[in-house]
Amino acid sequence: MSANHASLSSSIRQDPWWARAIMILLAIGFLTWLVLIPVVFVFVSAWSNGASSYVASLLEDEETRSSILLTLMVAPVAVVLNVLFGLAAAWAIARFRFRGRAIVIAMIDLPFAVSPVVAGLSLLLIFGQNGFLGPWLHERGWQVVFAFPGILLATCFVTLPFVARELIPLMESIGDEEELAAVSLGASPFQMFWRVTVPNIKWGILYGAILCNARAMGEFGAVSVVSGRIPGETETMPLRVERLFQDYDSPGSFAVASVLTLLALVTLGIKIALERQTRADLARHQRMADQGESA
Amino acid sequence: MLRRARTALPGFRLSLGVTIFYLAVLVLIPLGACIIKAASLPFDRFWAAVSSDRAQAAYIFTLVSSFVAAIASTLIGSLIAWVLVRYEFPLKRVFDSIVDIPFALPTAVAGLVYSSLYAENGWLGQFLVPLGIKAAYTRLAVVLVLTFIGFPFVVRAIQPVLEDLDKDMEEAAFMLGANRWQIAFRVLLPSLLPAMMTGFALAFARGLGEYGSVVFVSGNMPFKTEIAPVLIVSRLESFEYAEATAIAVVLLSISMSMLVLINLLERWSSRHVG
Amino acid sequence: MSISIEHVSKWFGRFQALADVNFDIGNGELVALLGPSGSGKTTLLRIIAGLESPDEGMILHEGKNVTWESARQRNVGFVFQHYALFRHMTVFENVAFGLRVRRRPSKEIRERVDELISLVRLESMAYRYPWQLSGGQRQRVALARALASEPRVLLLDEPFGALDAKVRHELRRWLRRIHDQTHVTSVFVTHDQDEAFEVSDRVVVMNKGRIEQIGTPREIVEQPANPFVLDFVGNVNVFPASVSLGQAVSKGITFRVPEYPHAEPRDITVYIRSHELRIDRNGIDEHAIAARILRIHPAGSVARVALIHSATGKELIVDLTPAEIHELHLQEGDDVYVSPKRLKVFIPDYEI
Repeated sequence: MSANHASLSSSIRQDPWWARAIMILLAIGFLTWLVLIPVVFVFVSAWSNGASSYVASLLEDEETRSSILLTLMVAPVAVVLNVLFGLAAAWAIARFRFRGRAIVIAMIDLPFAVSPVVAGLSLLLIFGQNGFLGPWLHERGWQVVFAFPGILLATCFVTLPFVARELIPLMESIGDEEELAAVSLGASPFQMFWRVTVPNIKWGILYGAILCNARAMGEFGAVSVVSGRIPGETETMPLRVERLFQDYDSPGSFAVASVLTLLALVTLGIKIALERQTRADLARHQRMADQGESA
Repeated sequence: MLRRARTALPGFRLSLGVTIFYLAVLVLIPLGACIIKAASLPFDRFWAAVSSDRAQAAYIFTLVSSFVAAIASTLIGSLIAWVLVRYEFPLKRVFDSIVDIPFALPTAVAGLVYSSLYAENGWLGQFLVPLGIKAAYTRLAVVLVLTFIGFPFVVRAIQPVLEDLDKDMEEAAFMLGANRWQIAFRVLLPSLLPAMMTGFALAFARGLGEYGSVVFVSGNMPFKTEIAPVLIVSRLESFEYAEATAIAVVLLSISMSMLVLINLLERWSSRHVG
Repeated sequence: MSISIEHVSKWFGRFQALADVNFDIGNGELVALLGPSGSGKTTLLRIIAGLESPDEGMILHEGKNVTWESARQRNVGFVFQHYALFRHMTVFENVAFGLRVRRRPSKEIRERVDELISLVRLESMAYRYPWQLSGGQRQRVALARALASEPRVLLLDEPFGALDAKVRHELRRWLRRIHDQTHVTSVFVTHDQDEAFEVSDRVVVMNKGRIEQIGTPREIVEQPANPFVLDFVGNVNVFPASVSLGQAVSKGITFRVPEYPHAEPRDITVYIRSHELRIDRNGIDEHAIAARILRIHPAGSVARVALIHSATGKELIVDLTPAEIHELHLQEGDDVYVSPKRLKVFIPDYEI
């Protein structure tokens, strides 16, 4: 771009300084008011009675401890299941054209639109005591609702789209030529997948898994319906936050909330790092594509 | 039903099989069960459940508060997106990342914080309540927390469109003698409108289904601050499964129409960008 | 290895990409599939490779039916149009891939890969990644990778399509040299006739999913089998005409066609390649076409002259050397006479 062009363009596109200042201050103001103050407030409230009381409310309350353990068990399992599903769905959708493909894509989006409470209720109607499968499961001694499997199903439902939604466009933009090349060079399906497909999408998998994990740990509505909220048994961390709040144990409630907030902030940090990584990769491949045209 | 064009890549049946199985177990069968259960109710009972005064009040409050919050999200989100794309200022990248916090923060935490901040003795409530602004356990509280949850959708919908906006278009308009306001309203706004509407629809849809945060801040008073998901839960707690299901189906059909609408908007939006 | 393609047809939805294609490729041959885009040449190549399967017909390798064998079982080397190098692997690992997945001993892999990397003269690049290479270098890596597991057939999809003119010319000669060293049966797809003629032993000209002609480059140039080949292979002036008694008449332009002495008139088409027309200042020949020069495009070793037939407004294209133009002092707007040095006529059921 020539210097002339740049100055002309900036003079048209640049608003006067006072307009810029007002708008920047307004935007920063909104972000501070809506997001920053609440986040700071969580930590201040959690620590208001000192560090020892903070640690005590997290570790010495047995029901809080068990809610942390339950969340730490449910979220990773949900992430693993959704990563496996995401890989399968992305492979089928990005690599093949088949009838009903658009329907499958729409179904993957559905959990984003459905209210978590409706999702929880639906699971209850299938697996609950009076549900379609409930009695049959009950006879065989399988407890789904008000137990770990139900919580897991509800969590998987609400986090289902994250990995697949990340991988489908990624794999479409990478294209299938490298995989075809691997097959033509004699790779078995397993070798093709591990040596060519996975290395190309590894950051995308991680990215989807991170977002999925954040949502899995924080899910409230669906889990609250299917779990029965039995303290010490089926209470996850977000449910524990509500229980303590209703019991007027504000410091305890904020202590659990602060852990969840910290997890959210760590998630965002990893997400930003991953985005930087994938942007760098993308720029490199873009350069490669450009050179391919001209060199 | 599922036929494909043959290619040399392996794994079609396995991957599609896993996909359909997973979707069936988690999504298709449960939501199907919900619809079947509601359909098996005698019609007068279904109608009584979905059209009771309390249910009507809940739908209206859910729709209105989501709508108002989506409007507020659109205004605030558009401003933030504009500032983040067009201007340079210190800590810009930090503020850009802050926009994502509502996506990552568990809604229960948001609810807890908002209800405490605006309580009479809370950080913000102590100044606002004397002024007559009560933003805890009121309708305003619901709108506020839904705005917190909704505005990032608007920012993230507009940002890429604003970045890709053809700068020649603005220059051409300038050369043709348009002034700053004319450029803003006749050139920029029409190109951003599809993205703004997409962001609005996403925020609105999210608000309709939201439960975790609202349950903390609204006070859940029937006929006043009770949203439809809370009504479903309260029906469940009194073991009125049929009534709960009937209301759930109403909510489900609203979310499905929103999904279709969002897809249409996104298609329109991407065509606009070209 | 010899390859036979027997009655191969392929549809994509309602579009027929290949229609009953038949031909054989001999052991050690280098064959070009030449045609415009959409002619089915790439589809045919992918079917030979096993990357796609035909809807009808068979592919035989050495007489053995491999139609339903996967690409993996056929042991073919395939060079993709955009190379499809593994982006997260070095040049060395790209070339080694075919050997690694076959679980060859690592010593053997090292020797074989080193040998191939020096064959394609990329010794100094062995530990670079694809994005650090130029287009031509990537092309050579793709070729080395395809050759690593000693395929019995080498297939190349538009191998030089994405390269600039200079690199393309070098790589063409180089591909021919590699083929003469390795003698692996090779098939490549191209839409560039010069490329096909320069590199291959035999050319298969394709159009709309069918084979129009198979022959050596010389046969195709000198004896085009039909109007499509003639048109595709060179720039051709076309005159719809009526022929009788050894003369073809097209809107007042007369050509001598001594091959058709019959009195019964027939509709034919006269084809004259642009380099088989000459331009004179004076109308020596009674049948010379009076025309006016519209434009002269100098294009390297050939200058293309566009003329307009003064009587009918028909446009003519003549290729001359710059020397000839200089000699005749040709200028845009000059009135000149055009006459054929050689012409070709196709008469249905009566080919000359």
